[in-house]
Amino acid sequence: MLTPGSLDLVMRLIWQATLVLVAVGFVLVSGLVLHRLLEEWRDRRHRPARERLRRNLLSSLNAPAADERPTAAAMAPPDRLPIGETARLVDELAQIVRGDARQRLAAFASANGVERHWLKRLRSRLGPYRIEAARCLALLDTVESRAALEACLAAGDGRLRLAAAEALAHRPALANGLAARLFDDGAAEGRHAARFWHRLAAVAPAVLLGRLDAAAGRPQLLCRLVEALGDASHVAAAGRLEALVGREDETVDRAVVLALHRLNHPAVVRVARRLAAGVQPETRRTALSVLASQARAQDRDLVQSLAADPVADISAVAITVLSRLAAQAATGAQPA
Amino acid sequence: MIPEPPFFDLVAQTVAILVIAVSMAQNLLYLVLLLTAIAVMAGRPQVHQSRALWNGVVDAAPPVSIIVPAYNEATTITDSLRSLLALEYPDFRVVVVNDGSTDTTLAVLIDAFGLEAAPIERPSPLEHAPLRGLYRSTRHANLVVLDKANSGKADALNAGLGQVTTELFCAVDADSLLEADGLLRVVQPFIEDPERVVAVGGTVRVANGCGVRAGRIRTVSLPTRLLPMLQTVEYLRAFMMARLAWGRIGCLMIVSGAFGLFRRDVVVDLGGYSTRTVGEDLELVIRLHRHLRDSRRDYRIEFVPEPVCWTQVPESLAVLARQRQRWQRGALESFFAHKDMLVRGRYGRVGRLGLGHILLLDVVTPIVEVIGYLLLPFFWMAGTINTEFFLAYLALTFAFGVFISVASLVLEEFERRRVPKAIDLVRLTVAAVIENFGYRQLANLWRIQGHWHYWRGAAHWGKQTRTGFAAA
Repeated sequence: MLTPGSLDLVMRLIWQATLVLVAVGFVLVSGLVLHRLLEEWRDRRHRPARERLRRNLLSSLNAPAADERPTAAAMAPPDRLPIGETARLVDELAQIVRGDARQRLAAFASANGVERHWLKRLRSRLGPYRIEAARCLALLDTVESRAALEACLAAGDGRLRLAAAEALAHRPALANGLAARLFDDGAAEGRHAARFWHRLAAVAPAVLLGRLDAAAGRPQLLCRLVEALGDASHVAAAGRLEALVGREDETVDRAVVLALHRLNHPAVVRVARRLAAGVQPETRRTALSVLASQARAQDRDLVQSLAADPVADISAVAITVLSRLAAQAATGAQPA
Repeated sequence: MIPEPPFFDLVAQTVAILVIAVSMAQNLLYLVLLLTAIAVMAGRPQVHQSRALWNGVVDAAPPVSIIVPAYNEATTITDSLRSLLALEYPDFRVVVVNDGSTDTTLAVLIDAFGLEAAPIERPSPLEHAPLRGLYRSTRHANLVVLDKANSGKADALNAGLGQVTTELFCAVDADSLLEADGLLRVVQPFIEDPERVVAVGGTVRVANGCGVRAGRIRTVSLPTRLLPMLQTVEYLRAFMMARLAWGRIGCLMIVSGAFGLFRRDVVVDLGGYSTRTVGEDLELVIRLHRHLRDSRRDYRIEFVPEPVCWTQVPESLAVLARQRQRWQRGALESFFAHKDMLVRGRYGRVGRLGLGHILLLDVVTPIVEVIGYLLLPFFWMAGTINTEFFLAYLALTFAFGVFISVASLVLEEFERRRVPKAIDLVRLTVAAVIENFGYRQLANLWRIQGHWHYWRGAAHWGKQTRTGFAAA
């Protein structure tokens, strides 16, 4: 028999500990089932009030004339509806309404305690709650919300700083200050910061243009600025963007050629030709895709050289472009 | 009483200790994964609503191509494609690869999406069976269908990959439905860390029982039949616990073939998917690790639990058995093709932990568990091992499995809350218990058969039967 005392003790501990774990699991799951039942009960209880408020809000936001909208009293959230529910509904609608309707929604949020709820959340000790509250507060333009968001620009959490900056970025008056404040912030360099710079470019492209030189030596940040200017259709930026080619690393060069492509600026062909000799395959690939979209006969030699590229898919695309150029030459067709 | 021969006792006791030691190692690993998953979930930022996510990501989202290999998927392909074409994503295209289906898949596609033949413009950088044709949809500008001779899923994926020009591609099974915001969510790691992230996997859930209309899941319900219900528990355990934890540890060794997003240039540089294994999804990720470690690149392979892909799981034992045998064979093929990573220092934790857990869970455990089922009750009845040993064995083999499944369910309920109602939570808990009594043993038996197929070198996928999605 396998009965050394210590081994038996270990075996006994194993099965007893396992049974304890199983019991803990069942207790937890039972608690969650009860919690879920309670929530289902509360949901059933609040649903009529929530749906009524949603209907009222939607009809108010959709009505162009003031006299067609429900009265403020009719719009007030029912007493029984928790403020979190009203806030969630306002945030949901804030994602889809624009212009005058958005302002009316903001006024409703301020008048019915939603702003207070979000400001309270912004002071939570839980980071995700604060970030979410900062995002929601972008709807409002009150003194309190702006002050609270500006205070978050000095927060220790980079994600919160960025969320607050994004929430403030649609105000042209704040653009210069925000750009200055976030410029040296590492949180505003990565792809996740694209939204902030895009918002800023949409309201104040000149502010970004003015920062291009200062961003020298910071390729990630330069990429964000270049992409934002390209997407904001700021054609006046084309010359400044072209001047960046060859000054930084190839990620910036690629961002420039794609931005010029989006701007539909003639300089894009010139830049793509330069980048076709790029060291990184991704650069040559990007240049080729731009040249392929233009398909000009004078680029034949350049594309011919890319047809011998060691990277298989670059050479394959180049061969296809060559055959298209040959077909154009045969029919005398011009690129669109 | 006739005394038992000492040799028999020694062998029996050694076998008992081996079985218990392996079960113990397996369960300790699960415990570590569970604790890691809890830590990951606790530290994750709040999940955005779809609309907020769209407004936030739309400016930075890179174009994505979705490759859908399809072999005899006539019953589900229309719903799946409608779900894909209805995705909320700023710039995406869908490339369906009809892998020489012998049913009406191509005809169904031509009819449902108004396909017209078009020239093949782009020579593929990857090797694959020749293309028979390319079709473009007259109704959806972003839909392309490739028709090729049958040569397996990996080859079909390579054919699709050859026609893709976007920086990112997403591999999706034809019998799966992606949630509308699934792509927006899975692309987030690429937006946040584009230089390092090379692959991201999302959660796959069981669609059996859910109501589907126009290619979208309209009502989320649990399966009504037992077998899919048991698989629901398995999927929860695999995705909510294991993949989340492995992603954090930096040793995620599989991005599910049903739903994964990859950087195209890295996969093309590797030569695409391997056609020498039936576990091409696992093998690709292991090869990605190998290649990126060999070239000393700083990289990340991530798992994001929010993006959900719904898939139909087998409803009959025969089909499930074939699927599990194939998965087991794929795991063995992938492990033995890269077994040297286990001991070479330069592969670090990917080799030791990543490959090590495949060795433990996929290579050793099925064999040891089946030996345990067969011999330990016999040893106990024969009096060769005492009751403490036998109870420890039962606890590790049955009860601990219940704990892990229930704990995954708790994790899911705390964080994702995708189980529709309280009563469904109760049903899943019951399934988590009964799964360990019969189903788990059966699954291990199928895995042993997978072992047999691997060592025998059998090369077939097995016939898959699709039942289509239920209408909402």
